[in-house]
Amino acid sequence: MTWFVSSAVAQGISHKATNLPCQDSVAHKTIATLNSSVAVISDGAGSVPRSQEGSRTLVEVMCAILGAYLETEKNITKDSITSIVKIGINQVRAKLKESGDLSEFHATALVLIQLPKKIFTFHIGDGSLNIGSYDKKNNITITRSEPENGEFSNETFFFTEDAWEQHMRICEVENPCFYLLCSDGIDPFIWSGSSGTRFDFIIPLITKLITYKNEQKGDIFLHEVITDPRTDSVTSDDKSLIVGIDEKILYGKLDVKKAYDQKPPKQVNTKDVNQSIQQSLQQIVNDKKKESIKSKSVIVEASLPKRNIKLIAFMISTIFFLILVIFTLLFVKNPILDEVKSKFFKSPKKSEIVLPNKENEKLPAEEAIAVPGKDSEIPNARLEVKKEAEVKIEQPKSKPPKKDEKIILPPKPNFSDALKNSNSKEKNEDTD
Amino acid sequence: MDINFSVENSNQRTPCILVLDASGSMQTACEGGTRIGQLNAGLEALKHELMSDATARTRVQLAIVVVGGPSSGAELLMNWTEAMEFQPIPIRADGATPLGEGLMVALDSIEQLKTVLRQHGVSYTRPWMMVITDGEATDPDSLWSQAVQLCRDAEYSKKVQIWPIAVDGANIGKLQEISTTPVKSLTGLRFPELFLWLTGTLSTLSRTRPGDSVQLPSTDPWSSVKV
Repeated sequence: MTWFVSSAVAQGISHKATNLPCQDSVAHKTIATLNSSVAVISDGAGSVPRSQEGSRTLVEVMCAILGAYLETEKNITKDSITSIVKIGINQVRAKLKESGDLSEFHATALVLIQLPKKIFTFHIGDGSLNIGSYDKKNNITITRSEPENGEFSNETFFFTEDAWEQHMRICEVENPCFYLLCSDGIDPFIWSGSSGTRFDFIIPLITKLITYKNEQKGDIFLHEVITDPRTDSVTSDDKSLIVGIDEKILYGKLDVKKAYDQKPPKQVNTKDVNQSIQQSLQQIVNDKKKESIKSKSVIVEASLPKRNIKLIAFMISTIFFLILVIFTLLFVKNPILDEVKSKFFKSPKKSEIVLPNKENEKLPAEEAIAVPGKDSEIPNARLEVKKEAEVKIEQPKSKPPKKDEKIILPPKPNFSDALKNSNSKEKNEDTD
Repeated sequence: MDINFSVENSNQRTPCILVLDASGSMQTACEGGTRIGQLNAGLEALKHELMSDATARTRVQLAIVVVGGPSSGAELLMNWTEAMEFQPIPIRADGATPLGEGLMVALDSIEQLKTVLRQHGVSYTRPWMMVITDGEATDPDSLWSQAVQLCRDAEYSKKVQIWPIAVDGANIGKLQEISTTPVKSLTGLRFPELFLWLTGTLSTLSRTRPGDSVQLPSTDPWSSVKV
C-alpha cells in the first residue's frame, strides 16, 4: 500500500513579461513505510518583492518538520497535528523575520498530511485542496478546501500576516484515495464556480498519471500540463500543482470516473456563464426601466390630489369673488353701479330718469309728465313717480364731458306747476 | 480522453467602467479632427488591444457611461460586456455635462455587476472607474455634492478605484473632488495611448492584499498606486 505523488510548478506569462520570478513553491515527501505523505504549496504575493523567499521557506520547513513528525509519532490526532503545523509556521515566520519584515514575504499556505486512513489539510489564503474519498460502496466524493479571498479575487490572506491563525482553515477527510493541491493559477481548471469540479480536466489527468505509475514521469507530465499554451488564455499567474494517488486508484480498485462533488456549487449549473451573466445584467436594466415607468406613474398619481386641491381652491376663490361682485353691485352706492342697477333693478319708489341727450330733452311734455284728468288716464300714478325720481342728465357728445348730474325734482309739484311745465317746454329745454 | 483546457470563464473578472464626457465642448476641433473623434479612435484602439491580450480578453469586463450627448443626460451607453465581445459604439458630442449624474449611474452599475458575479460564483478584482472630461460638471450643486460624497465613500471603502482624467479645458480642481488619485491631464488628446495603458494595467493586476502597492506598467506619474 503506497501513494504515488507528482508535482510541478511554472512561471506565469505575466511574471515573465514583467521579469518577476516564479513566486509559487511546491514540496512533497512520501514516507512509503508508513503509507503517508506530506504535500505543501505556497503562492507568494505578486505585490511584494521577496514573496518567493517566503513561499520557498514555508514549503521546505513544513515538509521537513511534518515529515519528521510522521516518522516519529504513531498516534497522530487532529489536535496533535494542528499543534505541529502551528509550530512549523511559527518557525518559518521566525526564520523570515531574521532577514526582514514579514510583510516582505507574503505568501499563502496549503499544507496536506496524508495518513493511511485520513487526510488533514491546513489552508491559509487562496488556491485549493481537493480530496477524493471513498465509501463502502466505493463511491468517490470530492471534498474541497476553497480559496479564501477578500471581497476581491486579487485580495487574499497570508501566513505572514499577524492574524494568520484566524484565517487557517482545517479539514479532515476519512478514507482518501487521491488529492490535488493547486495555486490559484491552476484552480480555474479544477473547479468552476458554476458547475463544480472540472471532471473533464481531472479525470484525464489522473488517468494519464495512472498509466505512468512513476513519480518522475508524473512530474514531467504535470509540468507539460500546466505549461500548456492553452492555460495562458485563462491565467497569466504562476501555476503549481501536486497530485497524490492511492494504490486503489492506481490498480483499478476504485474508478475515479465515478467521483462526484460532496458540495456542488449552489449556483445554477449553466454551460455558458458569460451568457448567463449578460442575461442577468440585461434583466436588471429591464427591471429598472419598468421601475422607472412605474415610478413616473406613481408620481402622476401622487400629483393628482394636489391638482384637485388647487382646482377646488380656485373654484372656491372664484365663487367668493363672484359673491363679492354681486354684493358690491347690490349694496354699495356708486354712481356707475347705480347706473347699472337702474337698468337691471328698476324700483317703483326710487328710479332714475336718464336724459342722456337732447332727444330726451325734446320729449313732449305729455310723455314726461302726464297731465291728470286731461291727457293722461292715470295721472296720479305718473305724478307720484315723478315726485321721487332722480333725473340724470347726460350732456350731448359734442359738449365737453361732464360728470353725470343729478337733478332732484321738487318733491311736491302741484297741478298748476305741471300745467306750466307742459305749456312751456321751450323753457324747460333751456333750464335742462 | 483528452484534458479539457477550455474554461467557460476564468473564474475571475476585472471590471472597468468608463465615464466619458460627450458634451458639446468635445466637438472642439483639434489636431487630427475633434476631441470626440479622438475619443472614438481611442475606444477602437482599446478594443484591438484587449483582443490581443489573452488575459485581458477573458478577464476584463467593460461598461460605458456617457455624459452629455444628444440626450444631454447621463446614460449607461454600454452595459457590462466581456472584453472579447466589446464593440465600440461611436459617441456623439452635444449638450451639457451632468458628470455628477454620470458618476452615480456608474457606481450603481458597478454594484449591480458585483451582485451578478457573486450570484454566478465568479470572483472579481476591484472595479476601476475611469472618468474622462474636458469641462466642468453642470449638475446642480446639491447633486454634484452627493455624487462627490458617493465617490469618496466608494473609494475610501475600497469598493472602486477611480481614475480622474482631464482633457484640455477641464476644471481640474472640481474633478479632483471625486478621488484621492491625482487627476491626470491628458495632453495631446492621446486617447489611444491612454487606453493601451489601461489594457496593460488591467492585464497585469495580480493577487494583492488590501493596501498593497502595484507597479503599473508605465512611467506614468501615478504609476504606483494603492489598489
